[in-house]
Amino acid sequence: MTTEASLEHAIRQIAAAELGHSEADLTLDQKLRDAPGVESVKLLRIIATVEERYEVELDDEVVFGEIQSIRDLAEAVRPLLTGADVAVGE
Amino acid sequence: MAGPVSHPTNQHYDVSPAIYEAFLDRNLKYSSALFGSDHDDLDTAQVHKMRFVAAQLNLSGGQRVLDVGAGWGSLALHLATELSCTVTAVTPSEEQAAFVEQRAEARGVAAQVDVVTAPVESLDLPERAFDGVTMLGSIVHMPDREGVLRRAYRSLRWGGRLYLSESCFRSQARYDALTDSPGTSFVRDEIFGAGDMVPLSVLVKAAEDAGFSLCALHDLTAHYKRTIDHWLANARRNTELLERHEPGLTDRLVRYFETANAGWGYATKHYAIVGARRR
Repeated sequence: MTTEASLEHAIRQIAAAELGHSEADLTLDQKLRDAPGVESVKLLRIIATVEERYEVELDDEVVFGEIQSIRDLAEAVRPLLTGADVAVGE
Repeated sequence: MAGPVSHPTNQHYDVSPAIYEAFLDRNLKYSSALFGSDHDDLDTAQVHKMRFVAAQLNLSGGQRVLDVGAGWGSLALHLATELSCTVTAVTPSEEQAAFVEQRAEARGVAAQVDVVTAPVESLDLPERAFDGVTMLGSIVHMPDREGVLRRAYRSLRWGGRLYLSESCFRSQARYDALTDSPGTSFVRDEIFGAGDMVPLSVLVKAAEDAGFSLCALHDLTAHYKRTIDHWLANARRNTELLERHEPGLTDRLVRYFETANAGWGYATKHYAIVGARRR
């Protein structure tokens, strides 16, 4: 079972790895664009990794628009997951 | 057909070919390969791509081809050696022109490869003289797209074909949002020297306005991503050589390749279009 928080934490792990930060430095509600060292290329790489890991395709409006934080990203991914996909983040 | 040589893109292209040998395939083809299988190496995939381009132009042997933005001459030399074509290879870069001439000589096809060192915009091209025109990743550097395509059209015989491939923002909205982003500005200003990665619709309109009938559209995005993965691995492996030429060069190339590969499919696409001079 994946708890609600585990998707957020898995995405935080992906973001931290891409940005070269420790996970502790990234809060779930921090605007990703404001994190140190972030540029659009790194955001795209985070999103690409998330899409690949969970086998989902996020809408352009989500990729380039609404996503502000790790929690937002998780909330965009969650409704696209089937039961089988959810386990991938474990 | 000589013209002025100074050109804003030359800061990237008018440098020693040894730099490009450090990350490109053995033919120094500086554009997308076409992978036929999971196992193709870069050399194989680049040759496969050149055969694909020749097939798109219906070249069977002995035709006359104008290659606009010939780079290090991979395609011009391939068409001359593999298909006995006569090729006019245009580049504004003196380094590239000298290199192509030398390779043509070495491969015994100097008589078939006419290297012209000038921006294509400055050339007085012969009318209805070519069976095919190729523009692989070169129109991005040419602000007067329609003017260049009109010249290409007029230089083709009736029934002749144009193969044009380019990296494009995937829509006008993405172009508007990202053309001045740090990633795009870096690639444009620090790598290309000059370039405007317009959406495909802009290129299609320019081709239509120039008179072309459009025969095909190919999505090569995944192939370019894989090509650049090879360039990235090669550049990292040859860091020492690159740094000897210019300290910091590896980092610049790696940033370029990583930026390009992060954008494919999200911000950008790589397309090829084929046009013909026909009803």
